[in-house]
Parts: sequence; structure tokens; C-alpha cells
Amino acid sequence: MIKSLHRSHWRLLPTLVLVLASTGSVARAESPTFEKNVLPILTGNCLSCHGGLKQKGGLDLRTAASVLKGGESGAAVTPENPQQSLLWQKVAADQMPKGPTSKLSADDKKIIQAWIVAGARSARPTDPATAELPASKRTPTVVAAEIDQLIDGRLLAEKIPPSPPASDAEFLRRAYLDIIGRIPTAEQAATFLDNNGPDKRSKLIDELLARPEYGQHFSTIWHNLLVPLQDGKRVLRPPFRAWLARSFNENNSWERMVFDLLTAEGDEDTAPPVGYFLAQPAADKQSFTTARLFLGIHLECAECHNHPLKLWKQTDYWGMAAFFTATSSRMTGKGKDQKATVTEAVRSKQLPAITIPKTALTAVGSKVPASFLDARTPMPDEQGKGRHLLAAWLTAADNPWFARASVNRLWAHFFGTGFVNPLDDLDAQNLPSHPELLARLTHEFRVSGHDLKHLIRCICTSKTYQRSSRILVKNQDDNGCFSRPLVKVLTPEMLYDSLTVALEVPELTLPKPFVARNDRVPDWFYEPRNIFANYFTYRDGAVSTDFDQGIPQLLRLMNMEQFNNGGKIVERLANARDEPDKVVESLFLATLSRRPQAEEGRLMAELLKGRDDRQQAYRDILWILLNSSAFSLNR
Amino acid sequence: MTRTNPTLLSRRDLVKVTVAGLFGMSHSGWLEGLATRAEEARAQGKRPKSCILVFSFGGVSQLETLDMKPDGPEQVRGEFKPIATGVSGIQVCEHMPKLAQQMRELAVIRSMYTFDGGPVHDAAQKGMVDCFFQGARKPRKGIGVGAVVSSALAPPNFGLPTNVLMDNLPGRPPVEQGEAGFLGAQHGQFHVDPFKGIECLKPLTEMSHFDRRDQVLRRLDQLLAEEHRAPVIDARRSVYEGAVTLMHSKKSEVFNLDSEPAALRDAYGRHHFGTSCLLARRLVEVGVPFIEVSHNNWDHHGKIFPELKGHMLPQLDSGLPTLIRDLKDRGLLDTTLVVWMGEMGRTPQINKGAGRDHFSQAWSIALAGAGLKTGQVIGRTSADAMRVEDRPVSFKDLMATILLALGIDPASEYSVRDGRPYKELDEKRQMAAGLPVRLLDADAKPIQELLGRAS
Repeated sequence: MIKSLHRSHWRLLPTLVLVLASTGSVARAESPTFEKNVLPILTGNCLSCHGGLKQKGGLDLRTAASVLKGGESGAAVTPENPQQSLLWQKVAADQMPKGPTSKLSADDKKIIQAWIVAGARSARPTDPATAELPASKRTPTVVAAEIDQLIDGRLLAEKIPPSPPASDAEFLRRAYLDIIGRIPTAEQAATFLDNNGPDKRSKLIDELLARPEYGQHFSTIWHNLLVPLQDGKRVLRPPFRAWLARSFNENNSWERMVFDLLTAEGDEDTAPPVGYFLAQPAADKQSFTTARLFLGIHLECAECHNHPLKLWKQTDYWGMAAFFTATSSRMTGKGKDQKATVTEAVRSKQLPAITIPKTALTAVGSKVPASFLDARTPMPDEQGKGRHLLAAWLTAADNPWFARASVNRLWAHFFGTGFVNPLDDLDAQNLPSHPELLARLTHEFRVSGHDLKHLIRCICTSKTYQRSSRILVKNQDDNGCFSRPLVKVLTPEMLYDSLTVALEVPELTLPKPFVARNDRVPDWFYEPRNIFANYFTYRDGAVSTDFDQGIPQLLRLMNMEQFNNGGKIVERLANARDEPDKVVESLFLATLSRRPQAEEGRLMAELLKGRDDRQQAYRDILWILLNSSAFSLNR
Repeated sequence: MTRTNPTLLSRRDLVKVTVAGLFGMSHSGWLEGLATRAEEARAQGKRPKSCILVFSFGGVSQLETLDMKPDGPEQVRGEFKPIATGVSGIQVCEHMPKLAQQMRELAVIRSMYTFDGGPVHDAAQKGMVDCFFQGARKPRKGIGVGAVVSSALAPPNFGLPTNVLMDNLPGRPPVEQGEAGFLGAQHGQFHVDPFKGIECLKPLTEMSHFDRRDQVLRRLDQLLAEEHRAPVIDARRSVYEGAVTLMHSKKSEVFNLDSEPAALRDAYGRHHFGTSCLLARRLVEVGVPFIEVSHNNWDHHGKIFPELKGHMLPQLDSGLPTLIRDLKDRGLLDTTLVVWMGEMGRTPQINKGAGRDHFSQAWSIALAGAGLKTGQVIGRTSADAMRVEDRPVSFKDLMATILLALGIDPASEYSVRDGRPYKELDEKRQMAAGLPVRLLDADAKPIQELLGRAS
């Protein structure tokens, strides 16, 4: 018997975080830019004195703009003229960086010189002029065409051929998995494949978005993002997850959902979005996660000190955390009815503030008033709730980060990688692969009223999404040009849901995890889907394109009772007394959402040859299909 | 076992593919391979080194084990008495008589001073695993000593996991010595139940029947990989192949304890901890580089004396000294480092509940084997047990000592890209790999007094 299924370390731990460099791997003949070419040199050599910690001589070398602005001695760079550029004079003469050993190499110097000569360009995206942007929401077809035009234009320029269009079967399985988080049933697959209607793909996208499983799938994803693992385990919040599912299904605007997440008060049954606060009831954690997930801003280093290389300051981190200081949770009720209640104290006309705690490295004990991450100033009102001020600023139509980060994250959901990666660190030094497309989609998302289903329709309707993920010799090195969607690994929950569909069972039978005698555990603890997910999940932030399951997980799949007994489907097919090749077809449709290819059919026929016990032979085939790589991947 | 052309894989994916390398690419028995390795080692007169970490999670009271204060005030010294050991002048607790007899093989460190992390279980343990790769521009968090040792010492195509964890409290939050990070999944901790070995290792059908399924599955996977060519398919295939190889591996015999004499099993103790220690010895015998035996439940905030006397110390005193003696009897102790430690110690003042609380400013651990200068005590605490008076040892210092005892240079540099030692890369690869990261910061001070013969 298998005990303690949910141990999080029963696995080979994962390896690498996939770093999809936004620079791409494709060489382009283009003039050097500050961010790509020069900043890496300055970062290692200059920013400790002219960066976030110190700005000697008033000079800050972290952005192209601040270099051009210069310090006390005037502009550091005169574009096209190295000789008149203070930066070049100091570097060329080895006067900078100071110190006996730390001079720049000849190569580094050449790069800086070339950058100045070429006009001291910055690669910072310039948003398309507002006049060019449509004033209102457009149809998915029109937006999809814009996606394809911008993606194809770039591919043409880079001379990368796109992969061919996805077959119906490829599109079908991918759309199901991406939109509702599970594979289609055998019947759903056959119906779609046999349909010859011209617009069946668009219809399928609409159908899937209308299914309650759409909200459930996205609620699982967002629940896991908003309720992080603690000690390798996740404390599920079923009412919170149900609220998320309902909100996604009703297609409430994303801005409204986030506003509610950030401001909810009460207990989880009557005000389910308080689950977000309850998951991490501390001002600094709330602030950090909020910035990361909703703005794509990573403030981690700024918790303890100003960072020499990053733009965010310690006061930014704590200024944002200050909005959460008046909010707290306490237990109300008795015995079984006891529950956590979140309340925010009213501080009329006062701006909340926070004291930097002892755990920080610098500025311990100083008091930081609430502040926004951009130039705007929070204005305390009579309502007196700090979180409302923050939520209103964060979800406002002119917040520079909110819509952009959301679009980037949703794009990555479908393509396996964002325009900017990692998804929670969209800072100025991390440039998008397609600045214009990101800006245009961001605009579309804004004018649609942050309509998630609309954005999904736009993305899924595009030819770019509806391409095969098969790799061509000529696009195998494409890293961020979207010549094909990337193959993704099913998340544990997607794998679980898909297995129940394939086996035609309501839930999997899994051994209950061990619980110490006196520990009281909530009902969800023994939910098979949770047991299964715990067995596969050991860290947050897994990259969807990385296969990081280990041998113990695969052994479990291979050698568990339920993967060997054929579930309900084999029973049903054996009772129906269909011809063997018909049964094989049904098993393929039920697992891989397609019919077998010639060679596959031949292999299965061979396996069936001379077998009297048909049911056992069908179990073999099902086992093979469920354990095949094709089943656990979303291509 | 056909594989697709590896040149299609990125470097990152190659690391993943080596997960298969971990379990070898053939079904040939491990015993043959092992015999060759053992012979080779014998021929060269040396064995590869291994490390067993006996990890007492919860925080062991130094005052009830290795650093007693019999002359201290009542509220400090506690109920237990010290006894003499195999080394004159060194005393330990009366409830560890067998360990006391092994004192010649032990080095006691009484001056653990581990401010980093602080005196909270998880934070303290984080302090332990956050020792490595800290000097880089982007410090790497959470890479554990087991992964480091495994990556440095694991032979290629070894056939068993090279970083094994046995843990006696299923169902509790994971107690683990960190992840493998960029060193590669194959060096992550692999959980093994000492009573059962690796779970789900046997097919539910006859092996020949399983093989037939397996053959068809591989053919399907191969068709997919040929048609599709995505690296993630090969990554998944290789883990699958590794799992099947392990199912076939005769090396899994190592988990069968039936051949061990009953008297020895009794000496180790037939409880989870003793059985884990015995299996640890067997794993060392076949050459597994890193084994953690996790012995939980030392967090005695109350009733510390009956708990220690009744359960924890008797268990410890059967498993640990027997392990050391057994390793020595088999000639394995010189090449095996045994570390006994928790993540912190306990407060000198006994609290109102007759327990002791968390304390990380002055506590004790013990090391054995690997050619260390044993039979000595390192460091000294004050009479009230509150302070380290001599030779403070930080987690980093300890890790540097462990690495040197195992023949691993703490100053080694690694490529973050693929976890390989930087100096092994040619110039082109070094360029591609970017800046190397150093295993341990230069400020880690190994305990040279211990290392004599070892380094």
C-alpha cells in the first residue's frame, strides 16, 4: 500500500528555471541599445556607486534616460559623439571605475563607444501613439488578425518560418486543456473531428468559455497563485476557490475581481475574496504578492535594502505594504462555527504608515507612509481605508502596469511563454519580445473593460495560436518569436481531471494520506484531487513548459491499481462487444483525443492478436495510452 | 532504447535528460557494475566517499546530550547525569551509554553558533540550506548539502538515487535539506521508506506482461518524438525510462534487509530510525554518496526529561552508535562521514512546562568518520550555557568542514546554466554559461583542527 501520498519530497526535485531570454536567440543586425548591450556592462562595474544605493556625483546609470540626464557634471553622454561624452572620457582613460583593478575590458569599452556613436539608443518600448489606437473594443477576429500581422511581420524579418496550422485534433485537445483544463471525452472528440462546419473552431472556443469548467480551471490556477504553498503544502480555501470560479464564469471584469480581492472584509463564507488576505495575513506579504501577480513588479530585494541594480527602493516596498497595515484577521464564533474574519480599521483622512521591522538590513525602525509605485500620491479620504486607495490606483485604467501584466500572463497561459519573462518581473530592464503587440493587446484589454473571455477569444482565434507546436528545422531555435506554441506539461490538477475523463470515473481512488492521531483535518484534505495534486506539487512558480516530475511520480502512475484496472471505460467498451479496431479507436479518442495513426493501429492490433481475454488486452492498451508522453503533455 | 538525436536538445534539456542517466540506460544488472567499481576502488586502495546525515529535526537539547552542565544551577543542569566516555575527560549524557563507548570515533562540536535563520525550526533549517552559492550576484536559495555532495561525488550512470532521504514522520510538513536547483533534478532528495524501499516499484502484472506494455509504449513515444521533436517530450521519456530501469534494477536488492543478521538488526533497533540507519549503511556499501536519516520529534517545549529518557535517546543510542561501529567493522568508516545534528539547540533555562525552548546561539553536534581527527571536543560554552566562549562554528563553517572531509573544494565554481563545475567547461561553454558561482563564500572557515588526515 502507498502511504502518505501527499509528501512533497517524494520526488526528484526539479532542476532549472527556464529562462526565456527576452533578447531571443536570433541574431539581428541592429544598432546597440542601452538595455541589451550597455546596461549589462554598467551593472557589473558602475552601479554600485551610480545606481540604487549610491548616486555619486548625482549620477544614476540605471536607465538610458538618467544617463542622458547625467549628474552634477552635466549629461554623461552626448549621442553620436563619444569624445564629448563624459562617460566615455572617464571610461576610456581608465579613470572609471575607480580602484586599481576594476577597469573595463577593451571589448566592453568598444561596446559603450559603439552605442554612443550609434545614437545612444534605448530599447525601451515606446507605446503606440494613442491616436492610432481604437477607442473601443473590437471583434476577436479583428484583434486576432492584428496579432497574426505583428507576429508574422516579426517572423518574416527574422527569417523564421512558422510551423504549419494545427490539425483539428491538435487544436481540439489544446483548446480543451488551455480553456477548461481537461481533455475532451471520446464522444466530444469524435463529434468535433467529424464536424465539417467552416467555423467549428470559433464555435468550440465559445462553447468551452461557456462551460462551468472554464471558471473552475482558472480558479484552480489563480487559487494556487493567490494561496501560496506553506511548508510545501497548500491550505485549500474552498469558498475562495468557488468565488473565483463563479467570477470567472460570470466573466466579471478582472479589475472588479482584483478590487474585491484587495478590499474584501468579513468571513470567508459571506465575503469569500477575503481568502486572499487570509492566505498571507501580513502587510508585507500582501504587498509583495499583489505587486508580483497584478502588476508584474518584483519587489523582493527592496524588502531589506535598496538594490544597487534595480529601480525599486526600500521605501517603495514598504510604502506599498503600508496600505495593508490597518487590516487584520481574528477568529470569531466558537467550536465548529469558528471562522476567521478580516476587518480593516477606519483611519479617516489619514494616510497609513508602516515601520520597517528589524528583519530588514537597512533603515530599520524608520516610518514609511503609504505610497504608490508611480509618481501619484495617495489622497486619504473620509472612508479611511488604505486598501481602497491602493485598489483604486492599481486597477485604474491609467495604471501603467495592471493591464499589461495581466495580458502578458494570459498570453503565456496559451503559448507557454510571455512577451516578457518571468511573468512577475516586467521591469524596465526586462524588455518584451513584441513591444507593439503587447501594447496593443493591453489597450484592447483596457477598452474592453478588462474582459478576460474577450481576450481569450482574441488569442485563441489567431492563426498564431492555431499553429501546430511541431518543431521545424528552421524554427527550432526560435525562442520568443512565437513561430509555434510551446508544448506544455499538464498541471497536476489538469492531469487528475483528464484522467477521470479518460477512465470515465467521477474521481480517482487514492490512498488517504497519513495524519497523526490527534490532528484534525478539514474535509478537503482527503479529496482525491487534492491528494493527487499534493503528490505532484512541491513548489510554486513551476514553469508550464518544464517537465519536472520525477521517477517516484511516474512509478505511482504506472503501478497504481486504478491505472491498471481499466476504469469504467474498459468495462463499457468490453460490454458493448464492438470490433477490436473500433475499441482501439475509442480508447485513442478517450485519451489522446484523436484516432490512431496507421502505425499505432498496427501496434495495437499486434498487441490484441491471439488474446482471449479481450478485457485484459484493452486494459493494456489503456495503460499504455495513459502512461504515454502524449497523454501528460499539452501540445 | 532508441533516442532522438541529442543535438536537438538545448543544454537545459540535456540536464533533464540526464535524469535518465541517473538510472543508466541499460537493464544490465547493477551487481556486475558495482563489483567492477568496488574492485577498481580496491585496486586503487581507495573508496569513494559518502556522507550520512543523521538529522534530529526539532532541536536537540545540548544539555541533555553532548554538553552537560552538571555544576550549573538547577534550572540549567536538568535531571540527567553525565557519564564518562571512551575518551578520558569527555563526558556525555547517561542515557547515551553506547554512544559514549564510541567516543574515540566521534568529534563533538560544542560551539555551534547559528545566528542566521534564527531559532525557529524552518528558518533555522533555511539557514542551513542557504549556505551554498551565496556569493554570486544572484544568490541561489535553498540548495541543500545533499544535492551539493551528490552532484560532486555521484558516479555517472549509477543506477540508484544518489541523494536519499529516510524520514520517520510521514504526514508532517516536509523536512528536507533543500532542493537541487540548477545542480539538476537527479541530485534532489529521493524519499525512501526503509521498511519498503521505493514505493510502487513493482508492476501490478507479471514482469513479462509489464515489459510487453512497456515496449509498445516506448514505440508510441518514439513515434511522437520523431514527429514532433519537442525537447519536453524527450525529457518526459527519459524520466519514464529511468522509472522502468529502476523497476528492473537488481540494485533494488539493497532495500531488502532480510539478509542482515537478526542480532545486528536488533542492535540497530527495529524501529524506523534504527532500520533507516541500517539501510543507510547498505546504501553506503553500494556507493550512494549522500543519505539523510531524519529522526524527528526533538521539539520538547514540555516534559523534556521523560520524553528524552523514554523514547528519543534510547532510539538514538541504538541506531547511531551501531551505525558507526558497523561502518568501522566493515572498513567503511574512513570513507564515510557521519554527521549527527539538529537545526538548532535548546534554551539553557528550563521553562515552566519542564521543557526547553529554541536556542541557536550555543549548541552541540557530533561528527564521525571520513578520516577526521576524532576523540576530541571542539569549542566551549560558558558555565551558564548561554554563550560560546571558544571557536564559534556557523552553518557555513560546518558545511565547509563537511565538504573538505568529503574531498570537495568549497571554493569550487559552478556553472549556473547546467550545474557543472566551471573548470570542466571549455572556453566556449564558459562563455555560454556566463559567470560562475562559488560553492561556498570565502568567509566560511572550515574546522581545521578536525581535518588533519582528511583534507
